[in-house]
Amino acid sequence: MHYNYPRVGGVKRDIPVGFADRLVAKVKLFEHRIDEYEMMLDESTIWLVRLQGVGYAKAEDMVNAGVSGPNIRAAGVNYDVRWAHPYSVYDQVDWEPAVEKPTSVKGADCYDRYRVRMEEMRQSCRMILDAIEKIPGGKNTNYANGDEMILAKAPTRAPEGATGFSHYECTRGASQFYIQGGGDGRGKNPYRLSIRSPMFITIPYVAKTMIGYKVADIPAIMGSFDPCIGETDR
Amino acid sequence: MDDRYDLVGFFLSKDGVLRSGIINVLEGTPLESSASSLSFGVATFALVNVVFLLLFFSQFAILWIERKAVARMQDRYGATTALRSLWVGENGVTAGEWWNMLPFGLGKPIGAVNKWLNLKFGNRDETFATVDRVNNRSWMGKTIVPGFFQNVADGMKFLVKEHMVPQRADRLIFEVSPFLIVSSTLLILGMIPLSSGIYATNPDLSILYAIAIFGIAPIGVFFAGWSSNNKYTLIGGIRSAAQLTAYEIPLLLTLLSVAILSGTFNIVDSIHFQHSAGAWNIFLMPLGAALFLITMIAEVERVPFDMPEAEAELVEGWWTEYGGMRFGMLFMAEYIRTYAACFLFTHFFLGGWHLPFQGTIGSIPVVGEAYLLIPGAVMTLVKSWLVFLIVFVWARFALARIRTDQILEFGWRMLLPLAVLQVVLAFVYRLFLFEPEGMSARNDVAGGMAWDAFGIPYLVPVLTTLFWLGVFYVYLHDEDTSVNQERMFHVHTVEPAGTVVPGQE
Repeated sequence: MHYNYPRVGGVKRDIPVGFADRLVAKVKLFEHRIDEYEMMLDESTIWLVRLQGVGYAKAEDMVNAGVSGPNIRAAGVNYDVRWAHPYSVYDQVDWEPAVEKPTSVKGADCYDRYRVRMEEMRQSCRMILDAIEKIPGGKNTNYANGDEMILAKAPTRAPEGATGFSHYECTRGASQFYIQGGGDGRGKNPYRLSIRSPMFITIPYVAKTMIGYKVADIPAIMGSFDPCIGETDR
Repeated sequence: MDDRYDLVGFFLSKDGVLRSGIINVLEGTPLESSASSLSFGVATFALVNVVFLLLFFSQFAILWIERKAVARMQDRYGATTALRSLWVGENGVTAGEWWNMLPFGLGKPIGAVNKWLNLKFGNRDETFATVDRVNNRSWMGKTIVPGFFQNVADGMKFLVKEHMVPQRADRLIFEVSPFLIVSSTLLILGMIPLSSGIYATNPDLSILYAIAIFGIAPIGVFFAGWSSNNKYTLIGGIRSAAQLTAYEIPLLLTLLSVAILSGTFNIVDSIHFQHSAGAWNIFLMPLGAALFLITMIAEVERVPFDMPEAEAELVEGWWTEYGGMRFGMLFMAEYIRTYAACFLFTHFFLGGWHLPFQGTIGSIPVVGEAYLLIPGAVMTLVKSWLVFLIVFVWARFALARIRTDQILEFGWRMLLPLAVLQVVLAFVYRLFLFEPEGMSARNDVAGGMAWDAFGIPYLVPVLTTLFWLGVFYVYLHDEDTSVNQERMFHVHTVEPAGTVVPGQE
């Protein structure tokens, strides 16, 4: 899917012909593959040796640092914006947040974070398969030539004093947007725009979890937190 | 038994075409007295080159096998664009135009050929008429071995790359170490017989020689890592040296047990022994075979033991600073070492050039004759390719990379005691279970039976194999997953994360 497809107010247009069937086939294949990958990894001693007992992160430390998303759910904190404050259609589809209970008092290690992501992929498949059935008008309504499309641009000028706030769960944690309109005096620019991106907060915390481990553990620890460098710079 | 296709005899025997021809030519000239030794020198030179070329070009097969197998394992079809990448350009611009741009019309002939090839075999996919060659694989899969010559194209690419030396590198050592690695690697190939009739040289102590040569390259790796004056290459080189201490001793002990069982230090003789005694070594020492494979994967630095060039941590490990054809040669040397490891496993444990059930099927009157027509060299190659595919490639794409301290612990605490156990077992087998009177003559088709016990043939190999398969099965299934136990693998950290504030330790 192209980034251009979601628009302010929905998506650009309805799904194309045959999309629903292909989607279901693909997701079912993916569910099958997840089982395969999981078996391959969990049966591998090397995989366990590299992940278990490496990169401990305590739940309270992570919450204090502001880490969110799968990384704190791996430590047993059951907080998901989609579940706690449902938006969009998350309260209508069938799913539940993936939470891992770490066995160690030291917190969640890389293996816990790996487990929670495997479970998240399963939940995503469950969500997609349920949502494609519950789509308004049925899954076989498709875009045809001449149908209505959302072509509108977002309003470029917000009135002075108007504020907007939105928080949602993105793949790496809770993301928040806050905007305050500047009125005509500031031209096209808003008075204030603030973005809270989860990785900007997580990456400084990852540095703390690396203390005491070996150089070869850095990719494992760093990768288990699922960093996205592009996301930090907002 | 001896393979019926005898290349060595063809080249080196005095009645052969080559030597007798040379001797005839030299007759009557002043060189007549030394004609015999001269012709021997020429014939040996020719033989060595032929065997080397056979081994070297069959090496493309394993690169191709890896590429193809991995594409299947990862659910893709691989960017196997083969030599076609030379004549199909990017984004609709044919490479023929590019050749035509060379000065003085140097590229014109190639360009013309390329244009013709492009018309003939070019983009036939109407759906993606303008996508570049990487995405356009419309005719891939329609030829017999698509992508087989991709490595030739890669090598040609390396040839035209610039050779750069880091400014503060130790220039002499930096330049010498690739040649140390590559030349020692090529020397291994001289020891490896393709069959009893196709080998370059066959000294009496060829097992010792091959392993001694195998041990030279890690020194070159350490030199390369140190001389590049780069922290990644240095860590890679030191890791290579550390790893060496973990796997080298178990490897030598495993080979010692092979030599004890076969009663020889010669590769060819140890293969003949497997036929004459009636059972391949893998059925007599499965533990040794497993140890040999594990230590050989560590020796050739492939996953899961590729810490010296861990891409995620060390850019490209000890060869980060090498570019151009030096990188290409190091890459090639790594694969040749892998290939040699496959050959050695085939020879020591899988009966070398012998066909499966050669003695049994070969004794049947007509069918056996036809069965024995299959060249031994083909059998050796097929066996080594299968070893490469089933063990090396599979392990590479199914396993994660192990850590340096873990391989040291694994090597010293598990591999070494098991290797010592294997040596003891080899002594026991050779002294108490082996029956020399059951050995057949070397060229007896049916082969002997030196491993029968209580009058039952094949009892020793069958029982051994069943025992070790049982051990393996129990080892795999004895974990009680229902018990929620403390994590079995523990790393001793300084402090739990979060309790230490940087700068206040």
